[in-house]
Amino acid sequence: MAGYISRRVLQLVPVLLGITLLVFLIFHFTADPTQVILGMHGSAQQREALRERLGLNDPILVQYGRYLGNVLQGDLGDSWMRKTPVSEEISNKFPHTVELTVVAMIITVLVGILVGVISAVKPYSIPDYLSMTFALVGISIPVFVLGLLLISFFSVNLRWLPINGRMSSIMLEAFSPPSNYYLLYATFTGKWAAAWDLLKHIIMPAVTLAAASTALVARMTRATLLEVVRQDYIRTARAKGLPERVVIYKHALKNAMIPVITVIGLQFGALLGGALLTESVFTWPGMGTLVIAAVEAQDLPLVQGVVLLVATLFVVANLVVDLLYAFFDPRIRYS
Amino acid sequence: MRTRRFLALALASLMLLGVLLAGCAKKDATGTTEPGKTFEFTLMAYTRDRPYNTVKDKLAEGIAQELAKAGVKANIKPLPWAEYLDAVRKKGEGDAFLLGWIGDNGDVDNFLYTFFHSSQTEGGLNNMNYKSAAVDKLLTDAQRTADPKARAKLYLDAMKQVSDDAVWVPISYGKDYMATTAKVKGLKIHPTGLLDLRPVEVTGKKEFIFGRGGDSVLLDPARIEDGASGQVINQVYEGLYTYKAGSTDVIPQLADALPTISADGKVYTIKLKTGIKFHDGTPFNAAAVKFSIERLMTGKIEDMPYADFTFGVVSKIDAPNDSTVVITLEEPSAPFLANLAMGIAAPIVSPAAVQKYGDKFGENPVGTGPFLLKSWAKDQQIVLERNPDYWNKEATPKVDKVIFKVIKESSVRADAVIKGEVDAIDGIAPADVKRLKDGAKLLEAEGMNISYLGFRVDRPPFDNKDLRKAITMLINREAMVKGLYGDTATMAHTYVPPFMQKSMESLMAGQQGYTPSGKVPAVGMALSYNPTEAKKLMTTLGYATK
Repeated sequence: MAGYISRRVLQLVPVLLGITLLVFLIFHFTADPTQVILGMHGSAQQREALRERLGLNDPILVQYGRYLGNVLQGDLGDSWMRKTPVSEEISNKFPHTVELTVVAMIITVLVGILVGVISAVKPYSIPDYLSMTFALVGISIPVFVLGLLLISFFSVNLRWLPINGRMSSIMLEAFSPPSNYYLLYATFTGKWAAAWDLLKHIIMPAVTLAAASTALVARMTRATLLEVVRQDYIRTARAKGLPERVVIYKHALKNAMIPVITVIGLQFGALLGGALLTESVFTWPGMGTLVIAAVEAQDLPLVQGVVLLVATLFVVANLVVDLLYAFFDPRIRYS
Repeated sequence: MRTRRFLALALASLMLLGVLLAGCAKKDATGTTEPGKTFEFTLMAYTRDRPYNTVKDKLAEGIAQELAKAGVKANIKPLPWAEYLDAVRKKGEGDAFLLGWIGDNGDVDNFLYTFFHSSQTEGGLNNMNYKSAAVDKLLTDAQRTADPKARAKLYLDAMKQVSDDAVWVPISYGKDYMATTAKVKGLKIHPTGLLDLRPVEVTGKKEFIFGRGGDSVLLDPARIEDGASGQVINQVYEGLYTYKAGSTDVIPQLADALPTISADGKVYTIKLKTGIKFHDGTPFNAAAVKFSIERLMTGKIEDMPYADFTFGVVSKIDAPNDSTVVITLEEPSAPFLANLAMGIAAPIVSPAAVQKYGDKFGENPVGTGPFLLKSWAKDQQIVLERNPDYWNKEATPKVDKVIFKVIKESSVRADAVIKGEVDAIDGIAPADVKRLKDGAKLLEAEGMNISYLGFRVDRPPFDNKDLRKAITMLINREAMVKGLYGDTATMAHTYVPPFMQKSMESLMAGQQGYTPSGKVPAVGMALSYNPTEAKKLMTTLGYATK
């Protein structure tokens, strides 16, 4: 097992290096940085001086080397539009996206698996048809549309939930957390009023974000569970006289979980990506909003930094899932 | 069987070849000059929403449609914004291009000089490469004269010449909008974008929540150029001068009076108000003004984008005593006074605070303004509090707290103000205008911007003045603007916003040739829609028209 883990982790290194090279090359060949930074100002002379200052006249390999060296030291450059270090911007925004993604993930896992199990246990019944229809809608509806619909219904019409943002303005002013992990801070220090406000704000974006994943997990769970339930060892378990609940939860579900865990792990990457659109609709101050603003402003260092981060996270998440998979299914590690 | 397959293959190859050739031919099509043929040219278009053009490349399509009615073909080449600027301004692509401008300091020079002076082909907007010695002289003279009436005459003359030369087709001016709940009083739109929140009050509470589409970048007037930063800077800082409410006339703010200008127009002596303190308790004085301005004169262009524009003409600044500042310019520049009133670059900062916070000054602003920064949750909200020691007792803020809240989506912003979750919003999309008229209070005002089509006059086909005139007269701008923008934009007759035009014409009232003759025709306006005349012109030039 240890050998397998170390082998897989080592394989990460060339993959990550490849990512940095790809990211660097893609952004190197997009727009001219001086045009972006200076916009309509500046004479040709000033632009040329800026090019020198930014080291844009050096050969590509030198520029890449410089970039890689900086990245390894944690320096992702300075954001052109915000004039602050990219790593600082990202580390400020990352907690917001993480909290949203985690809540969305919790919804995905709990609701998805639950719905999948209910559907599988009573296949082709009314609850089954209802859940699967909802699942179809969840996968099909664009994140953007769902978000705006939820706002329109729950905020504007029913007035149950706030329109957007992480926290109501007045509460946000009084709330001074040491980090941007608002929800974590509020729950751990017992600030219940703040936590309630935060929950009211996070529920719609989290549901919007989780819709597609939940649907996918529900369908996946239902499918695998139905297949597992047909297996011989389940028949044996039932023949042994075990109560149905034990058969399903102790035997069937555990085996069905293996492909489902894979899907959940992959969904983590999808959630990070979907967060981009969701954050925009709900003005969630996370990385998604940051990236969209950066892309619009052609702020290459910032977009580059976020792409690098998300790509890395995705690769690592996949590795974790693979390792978990190997842990659950002993057949994998010996191949 | 084999013949059938062979025929199918041959047909497919021919079709493919045809498509490829057709594609190539389209790309290279520029203005043709063969007599008797229909006229074609390449029109560059940008694909982004701008305050002066909210329909993106549909504007180009609208123009192409107008021209097609006469048999003229405009080949549209659309590009995303940054690439577009590169292509049009650096590489000089296209025979004609669409662009626009949002004014910086409210002075006519900021429009006409930037557009039409021959020196502005790189840093300014003279991407037409227009070089007219006559217009150059008029514009430079106007820059150097302080007398408003003399300047007005020079500018009107310049516009007459530009229209004669048919350098541009001015298209429209976008309107500025804001929306508030019914409980808000005292909020007005200023043509320069200046946000004065001192007279604003909200029935029933002491906070004013303003929803906008983006967060401020930094709160250091020297380092920013975006409107969202400017809005907050307007509250925390003040400059020597500012704009009168509702106009671009310059009035003293931290200065005691308008400057005394030397005879040669180069030396500005400014007396300062006394007894004013910055938020950190340090005194506002000539040394602080000197510090603030010199800071911009020595800054790097990528750090301080507006430094050159605002203070590039300054040669030195002296502070002979605590309440007097003497600014010497390299050459006389009438617009310099307007620069001192801008919300960007010109406001005065506390030297002590800049030295204390260094790089972090942008997050710890210290000025003399009516509000102080209380907290800043990045990309979420900025909270300002009333400055209890604000010096201007005649304009103390009516609210205690101002919250600038970020709401990215324009439709959600509209929802928020209709629902009352925020008190006012800006950045209103045309699609939301009707909804806001019904569900909230919609404020509208003329913008300080212009959208136009520029001809590249230094090479064929549009080096031919008559051809330019013909194309200008073929476009029914009035109908097109109404069709594309509805009420959210007005058709442009000349090259400056209507309020600037009116102001110049009123200064020249009674003068022969400088008074507009009808309700709409303004002095120096571009050629009106006249398809018959245009087609006659095209035929004389040798082009076939419909």
